[in-house]
Amino acid sequence: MRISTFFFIPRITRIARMFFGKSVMKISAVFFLLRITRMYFGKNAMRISTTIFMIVLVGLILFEPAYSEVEFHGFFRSHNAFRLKDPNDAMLLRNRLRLNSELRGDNIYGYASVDFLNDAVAESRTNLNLRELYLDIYGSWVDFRIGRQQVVWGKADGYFINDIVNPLDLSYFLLQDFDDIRMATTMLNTKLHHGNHSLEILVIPEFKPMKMALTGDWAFQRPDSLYVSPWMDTHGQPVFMMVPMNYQEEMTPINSIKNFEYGFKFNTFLVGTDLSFIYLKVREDKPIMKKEIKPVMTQTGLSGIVNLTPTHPWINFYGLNFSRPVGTFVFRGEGGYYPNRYFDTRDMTKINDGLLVKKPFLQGMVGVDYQLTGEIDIGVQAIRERILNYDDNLMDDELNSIGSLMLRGRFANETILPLWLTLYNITNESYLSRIAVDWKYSDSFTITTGFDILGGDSDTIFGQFDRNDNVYLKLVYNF
Amino acid sequence: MRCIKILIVIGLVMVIIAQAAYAQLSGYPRSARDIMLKVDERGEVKTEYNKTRMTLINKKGKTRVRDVVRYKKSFNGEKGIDTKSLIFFESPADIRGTGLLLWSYTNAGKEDDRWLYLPALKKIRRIAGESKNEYFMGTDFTYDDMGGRNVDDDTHKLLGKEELDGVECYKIESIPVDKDDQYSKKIAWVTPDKWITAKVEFYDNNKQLQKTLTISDIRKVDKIWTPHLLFMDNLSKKHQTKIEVIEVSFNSEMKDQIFTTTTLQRGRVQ
Repeated sequence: MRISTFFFIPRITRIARMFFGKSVMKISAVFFLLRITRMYFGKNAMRISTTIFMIVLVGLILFEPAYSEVEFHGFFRSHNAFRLKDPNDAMLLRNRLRLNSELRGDNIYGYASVDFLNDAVAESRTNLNLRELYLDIYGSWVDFRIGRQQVVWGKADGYFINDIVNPLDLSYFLLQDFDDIRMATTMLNTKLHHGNHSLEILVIPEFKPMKMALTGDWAFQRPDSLYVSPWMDTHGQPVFMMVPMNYQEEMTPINSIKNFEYGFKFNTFLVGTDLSFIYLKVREDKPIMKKEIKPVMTQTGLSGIVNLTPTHPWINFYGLNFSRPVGTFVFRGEGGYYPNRYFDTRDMTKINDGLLVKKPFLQGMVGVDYQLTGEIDIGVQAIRERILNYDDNLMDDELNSIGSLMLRGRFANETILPLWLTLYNITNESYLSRIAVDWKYSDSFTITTGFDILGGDSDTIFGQFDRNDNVYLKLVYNF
Repeated sequence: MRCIKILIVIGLVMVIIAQAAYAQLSGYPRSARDIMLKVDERGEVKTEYNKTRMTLINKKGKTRVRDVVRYKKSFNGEKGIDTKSLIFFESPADIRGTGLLLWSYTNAGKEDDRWLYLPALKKIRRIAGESKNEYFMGTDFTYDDMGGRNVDDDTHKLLGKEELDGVECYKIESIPVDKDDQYSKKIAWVTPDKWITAKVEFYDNNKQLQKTLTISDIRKVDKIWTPHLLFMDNLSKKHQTKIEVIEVSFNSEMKDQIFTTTTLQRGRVQ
């Protein structure tokens, strides 16, 4: 009896894995196909051809003889956060079941990842989310990755300079795992490689805007009025007044070939240094608010209203990054340059441009990682951003300087993993600090507890969430 | 009489030369360094693939298991490169796909180049080549213990011969040249028939015994004596690591392109 049980259990497990693995892959593929069809089908010929392209992709995934092995894994995670300040309410009671499926062939690899989310606090309580679905085809000098995927091009920890291919999900600000903050996008990723050099070329037919909470604890502050001078008085002098703002529906670009985003990254290894050069022609994921002032006659006289329309204009981006060890230190850095980025202005001569001006924008980060002891690592970063050709009408600061410190421990043979990460905005004296400890109880089960502390003035990036200091507990079961 | 003396001297010189030549040709080691070179050369193959299971055992006897695949290729000094290795973790689930790429150089003064791929971050990170004292993914093996150490990184002294499990072994003391090394010394037992280090004692900088490595289950694979079981007992941490070789092969075809960050980021070798 014992022998037969011992014999059958691994077999049953393997069959179950195969069955569920294939099922997850297929369900994901069908789900993805339906979404793509809904997005494109019936609009015009180009969209139909894109749909056909996607059908081919999904067909390949469903065509079993192309691959030899299917695997199935994932995790269940319960993430519970409670506010440290009054009223000490539950901020997050979220359960996530992630199912990943992989198929492997000689020169082919497929990956599907689906999240089942249940959140007892959020407005949308239950969600099924297809995170990633892609197919890899490997050649001797060229690889293709087709489908919904994440592309990570940056070197910075906790900050996004070069890492801007995928839009961010900031519905929980920076407090989700980075894997969850980055939203996968449908694209064709071609990688040409030879020795230590490679060239990645992206063609991105799908546009996704940045996701931000509009209500709730993690909603970014949106001003409800603007101090402008929409008209001149009879003497030709500007009349300044506080004008209410009216947020319009977001204008997202339609999916068509002229809206395809693209970019490339060239990677090389020179004299012990990893170097990358990046170019991207993409749309701003973050909404740029185009403003239109409309006159309104009130009981007290002529006033106005500002209609704000979130738009996503095209941008060019040039980036570079490097990393190089020197002795026991690893130096890394990245820089980004936007020749023309849109900024809000108070300059009323720009009223026909939606009170927006284009300015060159520069971002840079240098960091160093060092092993303090065999079990403690330290990472320090200095980040600086600057609007070039600055003028005083701009609403953003000319300079923004941020420092970060990360201490990470690996104790008891990597079963106790404490972390302290702090991002401090030097320009406006606001901060985000996370202190957490992972306890790997077993290979499958991890318990994480920690604090997130945010502070600063209410109009600063971190300070606006000052009330959201929280203590959290995460229970993760990997399978 | 004088001629006889000259003949004796010539004869002695010839005997000495013949002995030296025999020793050289037969591979018979003359010093502790020679013995360690023989050990080093034994594992010299063009390529190596192995699949291992690492069992981590804490002081309560609780175990954690890691399945690891490793690809290694020798470049014999081509462009200054000694070997390149690629390691992937296949399990457990939370570190599955984690990969490590290592390039070591023939120049003993040049630090290794290392890259670590973390699937959770989808990011490749450089690791300092000098951080050899760091324990490898929670095991009791440091990066340095895992291999790639140059014979001349230590000065070796033959302490004599000692029997270990019925086999008379060379007992060799190795003291690091670098005074900042993680160990003050190592004592190794080398089997003269297979040129395998059967046991190593690692002493910390306070000259206390820190760890003991025992190597057993030695089998011939592709005409090479290959250990199939390594057991590291970390006395200072009261923790142990057992490495079982599940699958191993030598000198199979491996493309240079495998040992790049492109493959590292894939998380697998196709």
